Amino acid sequence: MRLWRVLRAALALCAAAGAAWWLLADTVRKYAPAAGDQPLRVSFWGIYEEFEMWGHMLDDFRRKNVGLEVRAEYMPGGRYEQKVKQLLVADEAADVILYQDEPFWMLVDHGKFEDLTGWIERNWGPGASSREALHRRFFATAVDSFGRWEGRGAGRRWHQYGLPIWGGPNLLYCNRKCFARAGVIVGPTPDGSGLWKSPDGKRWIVDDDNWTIDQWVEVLRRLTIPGRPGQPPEQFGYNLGWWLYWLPFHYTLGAGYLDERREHTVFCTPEVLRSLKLQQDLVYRYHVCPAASELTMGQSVGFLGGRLAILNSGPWEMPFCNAAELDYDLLHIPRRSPGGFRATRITWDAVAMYRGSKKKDLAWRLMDHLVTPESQRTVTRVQRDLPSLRSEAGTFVTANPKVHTIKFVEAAEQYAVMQPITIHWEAMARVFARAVQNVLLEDPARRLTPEEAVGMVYDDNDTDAMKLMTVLPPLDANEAAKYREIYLRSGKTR
Amino acid sequence: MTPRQNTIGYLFAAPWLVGLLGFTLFPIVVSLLLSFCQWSGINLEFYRPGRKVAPDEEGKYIRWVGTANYRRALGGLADGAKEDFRPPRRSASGAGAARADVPPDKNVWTALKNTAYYSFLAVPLGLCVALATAMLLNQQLRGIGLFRTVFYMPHILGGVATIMMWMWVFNPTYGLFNAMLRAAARAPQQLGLLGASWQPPDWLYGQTWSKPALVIMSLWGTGAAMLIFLAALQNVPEQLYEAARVDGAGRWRQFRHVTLPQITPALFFNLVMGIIGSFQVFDTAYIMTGGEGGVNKSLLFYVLYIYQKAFHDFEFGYASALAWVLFAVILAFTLLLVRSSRWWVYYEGERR
Repeated sequence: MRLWRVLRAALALCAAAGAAWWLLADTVRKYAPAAGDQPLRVSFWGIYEEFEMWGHMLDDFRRKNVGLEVRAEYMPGGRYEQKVKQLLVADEAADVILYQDEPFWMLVDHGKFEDLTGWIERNWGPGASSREALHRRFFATAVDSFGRWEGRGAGRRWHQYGLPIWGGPNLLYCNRKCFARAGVIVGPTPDGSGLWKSPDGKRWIVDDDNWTIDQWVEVLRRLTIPGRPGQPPEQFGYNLGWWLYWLPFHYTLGAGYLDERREHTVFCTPEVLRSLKLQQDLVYRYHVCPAASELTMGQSVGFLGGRLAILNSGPWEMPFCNAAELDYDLLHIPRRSPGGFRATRITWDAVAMYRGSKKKDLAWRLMDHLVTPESQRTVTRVQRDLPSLRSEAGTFVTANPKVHTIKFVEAAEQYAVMQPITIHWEAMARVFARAVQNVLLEDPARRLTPEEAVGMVYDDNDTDAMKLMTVLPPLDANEAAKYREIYLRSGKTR
Repeated sequence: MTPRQNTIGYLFAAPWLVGLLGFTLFPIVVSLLLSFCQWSGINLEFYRPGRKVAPDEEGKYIRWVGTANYRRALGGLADGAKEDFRPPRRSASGAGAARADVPPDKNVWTALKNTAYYSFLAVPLGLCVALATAMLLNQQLRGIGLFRTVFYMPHILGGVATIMMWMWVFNPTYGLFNAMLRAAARAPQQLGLLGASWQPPDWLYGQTWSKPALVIMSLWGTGAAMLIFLAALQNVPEQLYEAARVDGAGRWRQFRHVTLPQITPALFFNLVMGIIGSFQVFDTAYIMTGGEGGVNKSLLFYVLYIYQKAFHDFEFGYASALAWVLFAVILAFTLLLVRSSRWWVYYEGERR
């Protein structure tokens, strides 16, 4: 009897030990080693090609630093930003973190990223952290996206919080098959203008370096091929897509979202009205862009499948087009007037150093490695992003001779504009996106006019708009009030 | 039971107890505490009273704000309800909502209104469909098992793939639903009963028909309720029907006076579960609207709004308060149903 009791107790103990091992062993294995024994960690997201690209860059780093263990923490799929934030809260974030420009400053303001200015000075030489010096090394917008002026008077100096590693501007992708179908060719025009039409009207030539927005609209109308009676067009010229992808045209038309200091909204100017009106016209007047329900497969699929002749996107679209062996090329954003102003959106990703990292020297070593010409050449091979290092722009261009990728470099150097990023990005994006969505509503009875949509942005009866007005008030309060009144009197308030 | 037996019992229950304490009770307590705080979800640093902090720095700390989150939510509920039932004269000269120390969040009212609309339409309709299907499947037919499986399958197949399928069904231009409506409208149009410019609804792409679309879609997944009804129907004693028939009751009277009273416990259970489930609707709206809440917030359901506040706006304290408000709403409805059950739910063998 006694033996049976002992046996039972031993069995229970074994079961408990087994369960404890099953539950906790991995955690203990992970946390028991001292900080020095932990590998250097780097977190990133991206498509499979980027995962491979990171693999190459980290292998190079390991070869240069024999014995140093580096752990890549790949977070595929969406909500990378949230996953990183959760790790930051738990003080479990990686030592080096890849981050996008839009949400970057919120984390800097919360003290989560290390100021890299000192590291740059110590490792790249005195004066290397100045804005001018960094502009010589990287694309200017890439530097400005992750750095800022701090201090006053004589103590005012540039502080860099992230090392940009890649990114790129939005340009127009053209599906050559769709262009050929509509009789449109891209190339120099006989008269040097942006658009040339043959006398019989059968052949149009577009010089995308000189074309204007009006000519672009004309071309879109030509590119749009009608469908069967009562059916949507077989081929659309363009798709409006995400509100931020309209930014190139919005800026080119002289419209804005925020003032230069990024403290006020400027969404109630005549240029903004023109920008909204053009979007509405493209869908409902000319019907060269699909309404939301007419292109449900997503614009990338529409472009690859030949339903969209022109796609607005950045270099990140190229791997898909290349993989599909699509016959495509790139076009510049049209100008406001002949020889006039043009602009496009540019976005960058950077690596930042987690302030709570226990291996800051090694983290810097890795970050430094990621912006070496060798690593940046790995970036250019994948053709998903423009390298942030100016010196490697050439290798990016030569990596894909079939496509005029030089236009990405030209746009980045000549006319790309930084996004209207503030720490109130979410609030701002929600309100602006909603205004655009209402200008493009499919129900004509509920669709807003541009004036009403502007008024909607400044409707203080709406919680989101009120919040935006609190954190980013309108620069011209009288104009905002004027449009608000138009919106409130429209009878279409939401 | 000896203390030793008690200990062994607790030991066996320990894994579950650890789970309950660590993964259920602890988050509940933390969310309750958080609902009285302001927290961006990024720093775990507490705000120390007396510390001078710039207004734009406040969000960096966990800060006790008392009932401010609840006042913001409930103030928004009250303001939104007031405006809906007695619309004020909206003017650009003055601010729309009265400025309080905590600005009311009228999105709470919008979200709750959307959820209630969905709930009060989807649950009764779902129960009717489930009961009707269960009665059909309660017939003694050859191959009835196959039919039962087929009707129950959508419940198992739920998820993203089903939602994507429904998005196509409701597409205004290419969708199955509107193709059928257009075909059905052709004859009335030719007869002049329907205008030539008539267009079928824009479903998910507008704000009027988006919620009805989701209600229709919800009927697809009534398999679980149907199964419970089916079990209840099979438990109705045959002699009650025989007695009713002897008394001259037709089919409707048999259903009204025999079937329905006998299955009220199942009806009650399905109703309570349906209400609770429908108030927590999230995945459908999240996938169909990309998490944005649809055209002009028409699909901004309450749980989706909680998600937006927590994971888009990083207002974890406020999101926790919203969750507790939802808990109170669901609790109130459930209690109401439980209290009302004594008048309409019949339990066999129960003393009345």
